[in-house]
Amino acid sequence: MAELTHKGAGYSIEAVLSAVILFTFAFGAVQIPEQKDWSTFQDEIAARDLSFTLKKTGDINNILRNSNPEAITSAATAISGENLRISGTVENLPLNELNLGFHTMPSEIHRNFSEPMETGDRCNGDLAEISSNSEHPVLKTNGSQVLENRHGVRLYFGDTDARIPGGYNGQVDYDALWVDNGTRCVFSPSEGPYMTDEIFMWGNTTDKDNETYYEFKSFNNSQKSFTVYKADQAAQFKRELSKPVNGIDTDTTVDTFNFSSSERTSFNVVIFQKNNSLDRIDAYESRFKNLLRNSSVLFLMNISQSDVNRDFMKDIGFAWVDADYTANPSSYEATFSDYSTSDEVRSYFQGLGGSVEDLTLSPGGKVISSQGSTRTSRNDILYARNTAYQVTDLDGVRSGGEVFIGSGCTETRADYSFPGPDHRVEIVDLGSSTPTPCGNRRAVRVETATGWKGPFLENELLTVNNRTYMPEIIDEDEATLRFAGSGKVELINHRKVLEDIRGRRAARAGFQANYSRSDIKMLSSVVYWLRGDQVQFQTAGSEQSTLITPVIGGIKQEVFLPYKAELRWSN
Amino acid sequence: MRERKGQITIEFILSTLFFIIMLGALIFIVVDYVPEIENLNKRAQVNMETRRVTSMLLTSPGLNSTGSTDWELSPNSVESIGLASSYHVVEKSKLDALNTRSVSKFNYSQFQEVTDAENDYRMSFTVLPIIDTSENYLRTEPPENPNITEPGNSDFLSAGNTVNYGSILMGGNTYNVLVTSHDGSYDTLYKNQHSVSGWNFTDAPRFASGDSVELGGRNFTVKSFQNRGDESGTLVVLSRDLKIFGSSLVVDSTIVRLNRYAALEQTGANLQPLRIEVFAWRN
Repeated sequence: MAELTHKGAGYSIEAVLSAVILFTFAFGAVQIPEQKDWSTFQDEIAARDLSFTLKKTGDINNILRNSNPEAITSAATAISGENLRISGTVENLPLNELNLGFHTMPSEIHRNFSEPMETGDRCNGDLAEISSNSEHPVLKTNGSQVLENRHGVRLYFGDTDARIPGGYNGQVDYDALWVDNGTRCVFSPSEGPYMTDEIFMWGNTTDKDNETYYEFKSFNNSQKSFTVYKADQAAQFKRELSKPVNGIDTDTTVDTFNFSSSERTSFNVVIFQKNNSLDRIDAYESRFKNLLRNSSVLFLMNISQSDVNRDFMKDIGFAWVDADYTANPSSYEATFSDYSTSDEVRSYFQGLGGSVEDLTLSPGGKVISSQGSTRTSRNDILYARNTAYQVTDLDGVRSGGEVFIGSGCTETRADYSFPGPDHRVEIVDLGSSTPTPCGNRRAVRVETATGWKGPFLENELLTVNNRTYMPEIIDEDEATLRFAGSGKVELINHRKVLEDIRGRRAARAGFQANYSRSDIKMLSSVVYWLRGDQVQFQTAGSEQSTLITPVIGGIKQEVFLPYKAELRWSN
Repeated sequence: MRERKGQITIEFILSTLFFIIMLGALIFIVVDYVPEIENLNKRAQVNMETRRVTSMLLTSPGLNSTGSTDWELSPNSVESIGLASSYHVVEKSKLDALNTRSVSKFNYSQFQEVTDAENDYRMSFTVLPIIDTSENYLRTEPPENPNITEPGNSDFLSAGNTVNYGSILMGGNTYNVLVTSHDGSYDTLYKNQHSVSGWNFTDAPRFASGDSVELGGRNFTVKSFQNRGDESGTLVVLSRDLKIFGSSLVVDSTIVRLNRYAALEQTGANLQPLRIEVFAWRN
């Protein structure tokens, strides 16, 4: 009976074990496929196809030419027939809206008075065209005022309330002006109406004096006075910046501003002209710094060493070069560099139809961009090919007698003169009497405010007075620290990142009262670079997108302007 | 001595029963997984094959038995099928050679055979031309170049101030269009054949979204107007259903839908976006 019991237990164990083995093998062999989200797979294929198709048909190029990247969303949604949301970025095309602000000096701000029309006035009774658009009687400039005397051209003011369609606001608030350029009281579109903040020509078209552009800033209704800001350079820039770049429509507004008035000072790019405007920046430094937080800055001025030594110029990162020119040509042969920013500016310049041979820009001061901490800008936007800085002037050379130091090999210490503070320099010997003989391997050490730096071997780079040097060791007591930076003379200084001040980008070029057309094209190209070339377009909800399709293309007109569009899709 | 051979103990019976129950449970559980596994595999297979077949159509020109890519001239001797003149550019003449049933065209049976497809397909081809209407002027102040004469109807007179205009080449003819807005939204298109009326829109017909407009001898539907961002009115999208090719949909199948896009190349027109809406299911 005992044997039978044992046998039953054996059956039970075998049954349980075989069941376990069966389950283990069965479930190990059955592989359930991973759940895949096939809708994502389908969306990816559709998005890639659609991006390529819109590029291939030329529709993306047409849309970008019109500076309207949001239309990509409209097109893609209509074509896909689905609720595909698209956002994205476009790089390297001047598609951004550009608000350019020109700083105006107090001497360029004019306040004149107006007066009612009187019997016998030149156009009295002939201003029906203007009067029909004005809520209150048309006013004219006072003939005894300086500006009308100077230009011999009368302005008429109307209260149009243009923002109220088909009606008036019931208030005396003159807001528009017309320019009577002697056209017998008949006004062409170029003679008005000009609303406040618009630039107009106050002068005869036959005038040889072309300094006749002003911006209509405001009208004081109680005193019947009006304020205009001089805007000659602004008008030149506006004309150029309103043109398409390489066939691409641009969206530009140009205004003038002054620190002492309470007007709007929010611009993408601000321009300061002539170095006397630096005094205004000094006087209104906090307003300048606030302005710079959201704006790039372009200085059009010839500047001196003392100008560059102003705190805010040093903070921006411009630096003075203590060196002569190797040649003093009557004109500078402008050349773009191989640097990517230079290439970008060159694309805009050529897209505006500019020719580098026609440029007449001059350095306007020995200023370098001082990119980084070395004061050795090799990344020039535009430099002069027919001259350079005499960079040997920047070398560190021995200026005092040597003192022997060290107890093994012969080592010396001497005073060395550099542009800026002088420093002591040691020539040390890295060899020893055994096993390496003395004099086989020398190096230099330089004393700085924080202690001795080095040793630096020949061809090694070291920084002294914020410049880069390379030691050239001749003997145990003779060495020269050769300036290792570029000697190129920059015609346009630029900073991609400001040195010690919060802001965007900065650039400077020499000043000319009347820039040539090519110079204006060049400076306009710099303005486009200062503005930045990445534009974003967004559709509500598309920020959740994970699928990105890049489109690399180019717009060919005067020049091939490559772009990169990244389309982000979501469903 | 007692003979013990042939005896069955209670333990043996219980163990056998236990094993049978466990085996049954295992079979029951595994069988429950089978439809799900099959369904997932089927969906994966349909998706992958749909991509393969459609990519073949959009990236290769196809070949006939003589090795020529002009297979549309002899659609009954097709060795491999493709519609493309270049990557994702579909030739209209090849598209015209597809016909679901016709024996004189490249029909669906041949398609199944040539593509070695295990699934059924239904493809809907729609061309969606975009008219660039980015040029604009202030209503009642039309430009001199082009010399636009505006429509005189009340709808135009009540339109928004900014009128956009542009042209499109279709069927060898250039068509000029004006686009106008109402209540801030662009919604109306006027059309002229350039060789007939130029830019004189005095009596030009007017179309709204959903209307049928004839261009180059073909009817298109006005699908949508650009109404986003600051530059509204800068494009108009038209659509025209070109063809449906393939089997009828089987309602009780698991259907996979995949949209493919390409540029349509045809005589007398610029490249235009082409949508291929593909439905695929296991046959």
